[in-house]
Amino acid sequence: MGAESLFINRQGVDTSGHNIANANTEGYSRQRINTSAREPTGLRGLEIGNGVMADSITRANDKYIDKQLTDSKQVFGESSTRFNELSKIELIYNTESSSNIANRLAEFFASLHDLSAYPEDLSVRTNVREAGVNLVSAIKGVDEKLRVAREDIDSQIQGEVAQINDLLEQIADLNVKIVGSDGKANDYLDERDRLVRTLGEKIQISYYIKDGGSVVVRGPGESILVEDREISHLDLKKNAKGDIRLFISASDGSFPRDVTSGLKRGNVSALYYVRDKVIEGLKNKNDELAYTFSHKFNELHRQGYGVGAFNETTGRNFFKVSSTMDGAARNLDLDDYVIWDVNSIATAASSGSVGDNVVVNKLIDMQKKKIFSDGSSDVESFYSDYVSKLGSEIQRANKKKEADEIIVKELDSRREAVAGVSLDEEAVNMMKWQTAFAASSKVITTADEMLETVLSLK
Amino acid sequence: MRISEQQRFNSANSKIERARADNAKALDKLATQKEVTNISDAPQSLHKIFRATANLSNIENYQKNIAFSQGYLERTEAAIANITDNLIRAKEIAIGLANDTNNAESRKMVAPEIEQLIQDIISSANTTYAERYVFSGFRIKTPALSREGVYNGDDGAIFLQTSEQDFQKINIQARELFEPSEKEVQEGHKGIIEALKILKSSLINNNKEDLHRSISELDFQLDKMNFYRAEAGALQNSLSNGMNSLDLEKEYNADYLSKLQDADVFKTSSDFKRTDTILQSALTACNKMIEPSLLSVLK
Repeated sequence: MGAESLFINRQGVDTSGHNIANANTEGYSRQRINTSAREPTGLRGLEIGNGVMADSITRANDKYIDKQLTDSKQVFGESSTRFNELSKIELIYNTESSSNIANRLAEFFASLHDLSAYPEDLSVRTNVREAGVNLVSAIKGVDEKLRVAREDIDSQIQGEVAQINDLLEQIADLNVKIVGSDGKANDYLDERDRLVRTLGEKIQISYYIKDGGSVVVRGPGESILVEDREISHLDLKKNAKGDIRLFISASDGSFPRDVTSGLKRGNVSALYYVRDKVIEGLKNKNDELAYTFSHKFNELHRQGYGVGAFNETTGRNFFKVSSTMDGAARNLDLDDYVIWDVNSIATAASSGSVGDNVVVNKLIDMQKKKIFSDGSSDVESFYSDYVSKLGSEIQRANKKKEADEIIVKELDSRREAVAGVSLDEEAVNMMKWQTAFAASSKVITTADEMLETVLSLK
Repeated sequence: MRISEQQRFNSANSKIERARADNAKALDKLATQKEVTNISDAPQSLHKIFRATANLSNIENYQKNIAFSQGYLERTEAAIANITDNLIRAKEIAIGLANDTNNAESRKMVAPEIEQLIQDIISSANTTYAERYVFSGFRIKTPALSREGVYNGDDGAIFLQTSEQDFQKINIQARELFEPSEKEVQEGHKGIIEALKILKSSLINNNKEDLHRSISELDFQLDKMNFYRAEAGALQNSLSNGMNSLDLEKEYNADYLSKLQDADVFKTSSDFKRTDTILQSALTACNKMIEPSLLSVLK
């Protein structure tokens, strides 16, 4: 009995020690040893106790809070990733930068005002060309930065998918170990819970625990990601447009299913949203600005005469632009004539009149012409409108992220209140087990002394 | 409620993070003196900021155009004034010498002065501003009048944008200033140089009839000068009024833009001080929160 008691109390100390050692381990649930009295033995009309036995070592854990926490982390995973990616894109439209499109447009029209006053002046014409170059550079710069942002997101998606596949393997391994321990291996259970939460941050899941202790995890489109030791495999494939799409298939790669459109929560969902909706939308707006503005500008420019060798001919463009809107920003440039000789820039409505500025005045007037959005916006309004919408979206994403973060922290705090390790509590527990251990050893020494007394009887 | 170690550290970390973030934001505003540095800071105001900034840039352009136009018209007006003075002098001479007290000799002696007036008028007609002939229409590199008094300009009207709604004419279309229109020809009028040449010829040839006709022709030319001078004056007035309006508009837009995006100096300083104090308090409080533990009491 004394030895049994020593063992149990020693186990109590070890359990407290294990808790203290893992006080800072993420996802760890404090463990406690559950003891009960052994079955008494009947002897000479008396029921004599047989000491203590350890029933189990269980972890302090609230399944309901765990589930809520996993769900909230999925939502937070989506909102925080969405905000982070949108913040990167926000830098492209920095209002402080002198090279943003709005400032370059203002400079371009200012150069046209100078040209209107001095249509014959070579330095003024050169300035118009340079302002045109800067404007083209600003528009192409936005297109290029959006392309880089998109590629960066594609890399992140690849990274996330690799991590998800790795997590699925780890969860399946733990399923096997947990089932083998009859669902009692607390550390494995904690680790699996942590992995499931981490998985949930990346991709939307739902899960339940089977009777044997194995977890079944479902993914987007009700696909089964993990069941017992079986896992699905996530893969990325390019479609006809060259976009990366997410597929879930069996572990041998059979029966692949495109689940990209069904993504709603988790990091991956946010990455796809930012790539396919936000970046694509901004790229289209940039293309529309480049295409519409340059085509309308060219229409007017073609009506005018230049000066010098170009004062007898019309029909020249100012911008070189593609015939389709898609890719217009990337392909935008100044016309070759404008680059070679600034005298080709059209200013006059009549030939041979150096001071004629009728056409350049029409070009200046384009600043206020409502040529966008079915005739409701001029070029500056069109730009500021879609940039403002982006700003609003980022602000909303930030507020949502902050709200979701509060919920996650609150649930985490509740989980910690149940499962977390308190060093003060463990210190008291250790004192408790240590005292009991000392008392148990006294039982042994007392029994030993009693035996000595009996043996010494003559 | 139980408080675990992770909770304590997470709580401390969260509070310090929050205090640092607020402090960093306040520092950013203090350093830039701007409320709006990112498009997400105030997206509702962004459209107005873009519009006000564009307006300010445009107002600068309009003011530059007005300044240029005012210079152009001042030179134009001065040239017309000079031509007018020369015509008045020519008329004085004509009236003086029309009198029968003068003979052929005295009239002939004054002819060179008329020639001088003609050359002066041609020179005024070919006045330049910023290396362009102000009376030549679009042919700004061509002198308006030849030495023979032939008008070599065209009828181009030069317009510059002087406000959001207006393109204003900045030059006098001077053909009819120097040459007679069809109707004027039918009425027997001449161009300004031709009229003076007839006067000069009448003095040289002692032709009293032509001399008398020259006086009424010079009156006609003076009336024309006054008309064009008034036109130049009217354009000048319009430009001055436009400039005054733009000054007010510039002030309004600058003030409006400042209200939208600039930070209040005193508020940003006090916000920074406040967040800095909160950060220090958070660090001190968290230090005290983390320390006490039964383990540190037990020996």
